[in-house]
Amino acid sequence: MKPVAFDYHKARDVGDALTALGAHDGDAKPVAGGCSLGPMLNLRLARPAKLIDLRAVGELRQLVRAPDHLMIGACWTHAEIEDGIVPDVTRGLMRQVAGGIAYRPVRNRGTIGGSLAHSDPAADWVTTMAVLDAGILISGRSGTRRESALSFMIGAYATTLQADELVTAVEVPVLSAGARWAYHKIARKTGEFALAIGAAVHDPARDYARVVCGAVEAPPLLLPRTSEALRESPSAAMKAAEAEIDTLLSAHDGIFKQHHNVAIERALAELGR
Amino acid sequence: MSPTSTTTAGDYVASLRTAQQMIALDKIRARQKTPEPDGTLIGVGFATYTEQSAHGTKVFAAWGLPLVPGFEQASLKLTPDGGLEVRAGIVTIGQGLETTLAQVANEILTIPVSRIKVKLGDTATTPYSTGAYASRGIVMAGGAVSRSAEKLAERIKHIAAHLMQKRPDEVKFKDGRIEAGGARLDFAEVGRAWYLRPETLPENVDTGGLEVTEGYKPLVDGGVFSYATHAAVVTVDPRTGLVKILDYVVVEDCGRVVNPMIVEGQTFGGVAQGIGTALFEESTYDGQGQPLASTLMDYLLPGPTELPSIRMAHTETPSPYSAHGIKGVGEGGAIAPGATVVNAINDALRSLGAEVCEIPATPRRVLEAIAAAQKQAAA
Repeated sequence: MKPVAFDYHKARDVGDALTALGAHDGDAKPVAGGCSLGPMLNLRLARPAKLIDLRAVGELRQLVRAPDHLMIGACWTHAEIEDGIVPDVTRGLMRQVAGGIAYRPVRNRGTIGGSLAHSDPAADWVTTMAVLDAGILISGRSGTRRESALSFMIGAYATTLQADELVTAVEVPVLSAGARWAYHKIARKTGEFALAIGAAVHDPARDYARVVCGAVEAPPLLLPRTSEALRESPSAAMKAAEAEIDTLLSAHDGIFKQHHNVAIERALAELGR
Repeated sequence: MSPTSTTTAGDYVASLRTAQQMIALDKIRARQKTPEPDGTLIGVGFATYTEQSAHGTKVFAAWGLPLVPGFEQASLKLTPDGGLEVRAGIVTIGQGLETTLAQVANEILTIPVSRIKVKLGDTATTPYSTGAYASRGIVMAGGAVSRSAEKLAERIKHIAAHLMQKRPDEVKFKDGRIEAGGARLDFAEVGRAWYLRPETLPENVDTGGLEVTEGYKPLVDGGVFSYATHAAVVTVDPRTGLVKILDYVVVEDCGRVVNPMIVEGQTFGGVAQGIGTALFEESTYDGQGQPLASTLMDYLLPGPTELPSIRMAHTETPSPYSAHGIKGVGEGGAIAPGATVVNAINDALRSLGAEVCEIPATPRRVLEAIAAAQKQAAA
């Protein structure tokens, strides 16, 4: 199939993109890599009147290092993160995750901001930003705001992003030298969206421990008790995880829960090694 | 096993034994005695099958199908420059008939494949055909090319004998040239005689000239039977239900092999498709009949990383019923992977008493089989 007809505007800067987005009563869509929007246009699941192309906007390609975080512009691609062109302040976590997203041709085009704005519950950045407690920077015509990755996503393919707002960057916390992380994805084949994701970060120097269960057909699931137990040890976290997942995913069947249990268990086992 | 009337020509037991050796069954059985360090389970599976190919007139008529194939035809023409044109109604869908039909003509006339032009599936210029299906192309069209080439050979020999002042039965073809008792002639000279210098032709020349259309079907309508054994080694992760294929071997017999690369290519492609059937491909619907796998995002196909390096061995048992003993090979590769892979999965699950009985063997189906076995054991 082919998309329905749409207009095209190549944005010069963020201000221009926001003006163009606002001008069409919410009927315009921003596009960067087009890896998710492209197929949706072709299937006519999305029928925007206008596409606002963000790829020439230099502000969305900034990298700003602060002592405790790195701000990564929304238009950096998965491949640029995988290849280390974007510095990795997460001690290898983001590079590993980037390298496991879909296939290289997708990674060459797909952007971190686009993936987060699209918010497929099984997508990798959604869970990764949640486990890191990253911030999402958003610009609208009335100003800018920062939202935590966990509260940004409110459901499958649903975020707090308004139709006339743009994700401009992510703020990724710098992990300390002694920090440990693990990311385990269960997928049926290379390049597929995950059946289940288990992600864990333990950074004692920052007094930070978080375990997140991803690909739950909803925003990433924070496991507070398991996270707390991780401060003690990965094996303590493992003990807490099963019951917590069982409770929090009670709406799902046994096999769904088992996949998520195993993803968390294997992530924690890896973190403990 | 002694060949039966329908599956004539084949040593099925030898096929299975060869596959057993290639997959190293004894080593797999030894490996199964110790648990895998990563908690996965190893299994091995086999499947032996026959592939009915080029079944024809009586079979289709008995099935009451609206379309009944008869004699497949091919037209061959020796051109004035000594090249050969082969025209056949069969269509090519990537199975390499341009190459293999030229090879069949070359087998009889020795004209180099590079001088043979093959034209297929054009209703304006080629004989009528019911098309490519039932792994029939090389058996039917190959037979037709062979039959036409033999007839054309007689006509060429008759003219050549006259030009060389020899008897037709002394004339032989060798390496793209015509020979008779030490004398030699190019095919082009025979072409020139017919098309341009008819005054040099023998008095009783066949007036059909250097163009022949003949029809062919095998001696039986029930088909000629290729066969193979497939064997696979898999790991099953009993916690996630994910299956990985570690090794895959094919021992195939398609009678006389016209072109080994094409046979292997057909088989590799078929196995890849069959592994899709075994593990991935499924058209699912929800309770309201809404299709759930309407795009390739939901309808999974195996990719390069899901496919093993397939190892292949060939045996060659010619069919007594077809020209040159050829059997069809187009669809065979896809027949066995479902049985082979699921047999291997069930071998891996044997220690758990679980059995998967449905394809594709998705992670969910594998886990459901394990859960059912656990439930039964507990009861």
